[in-house]
Amino acid sequence: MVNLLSTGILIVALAAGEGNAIKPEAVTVSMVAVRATIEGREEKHFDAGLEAIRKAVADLPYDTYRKVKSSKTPAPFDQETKIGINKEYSLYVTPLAKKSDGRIRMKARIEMQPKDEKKKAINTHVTTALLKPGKKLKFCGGMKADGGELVVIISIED
Amino acid sequence: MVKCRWMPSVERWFDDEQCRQESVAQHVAQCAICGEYLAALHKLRHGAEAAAFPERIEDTQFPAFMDGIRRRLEPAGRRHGGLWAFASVSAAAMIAAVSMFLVFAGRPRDVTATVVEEATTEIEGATVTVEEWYSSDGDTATIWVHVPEKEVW
Repeated sequence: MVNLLSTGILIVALAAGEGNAIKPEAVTVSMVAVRATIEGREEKHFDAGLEAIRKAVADLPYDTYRKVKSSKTPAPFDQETKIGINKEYSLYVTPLAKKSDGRIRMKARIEMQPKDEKKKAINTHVTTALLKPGKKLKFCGGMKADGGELVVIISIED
Repeated sequence: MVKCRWMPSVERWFDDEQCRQESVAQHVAQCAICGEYLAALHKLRHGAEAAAFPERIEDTQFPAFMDGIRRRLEPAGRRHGGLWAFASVSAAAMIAAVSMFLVFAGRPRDVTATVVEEATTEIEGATVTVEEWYSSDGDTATIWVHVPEKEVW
């Protein structure tokens, strides 16, 4: 009986194998928010501390990137973690699972609080993505910020 | 063979069964057919008695005879049917487990890039596109929200 039970457990364990996702306690979400504008520069300008995103935004049409906020925030799995950007915008992330190849399945949304407080907050971006640690995911469009566009770049730290 | 209706009675009389013994004996003495039949029965009985040979065990055969009896009385050797059955079940379970592992786990995936599975927006009239940007430091996925000219803020 014990042997049969052991065999059953072995089958379940092997079947679960690496096909299933595992859940560590939390991941660290790195976020950089910039105000991107077109100012007619010959060379693109990046504020200090934005070197890390230079290549990630190389495809965008803007020539000036001003830092709004950067942060590294631990985000527990299956919990929505708020990462404030500025008064208007907040990033919410919910890590869901870690795949066997190391990627993290995560829900993310950017919520905009209208200046008119009577209006209801809306999500400018809502996504579910498989994020490879160290690789970037950026949110563009639909987010105005002081005469420019808000661009939010997130990544999961290795 | 010529038959006589007394022949069954002759057989019973020959086997000493209860029957009309005097009348049968009287008939046999008069009937040639039954007389011959009775003689044949006697001949058959003598032949059978002569052929009968009682089996005897000689003294030299006795140890082997007893040895055979003892072998039959000893408990049969332990059989290992249960062990083989368990081994078969275990092997089948292992095969099933390995099969399930291969099905569920599959081969290591080559595609490990960041993948946007879904992207939406709540901005009225806006559309969303997902773009992959490949740069020297790796791929970057971009979620673009395209807002119509109408001011939504």
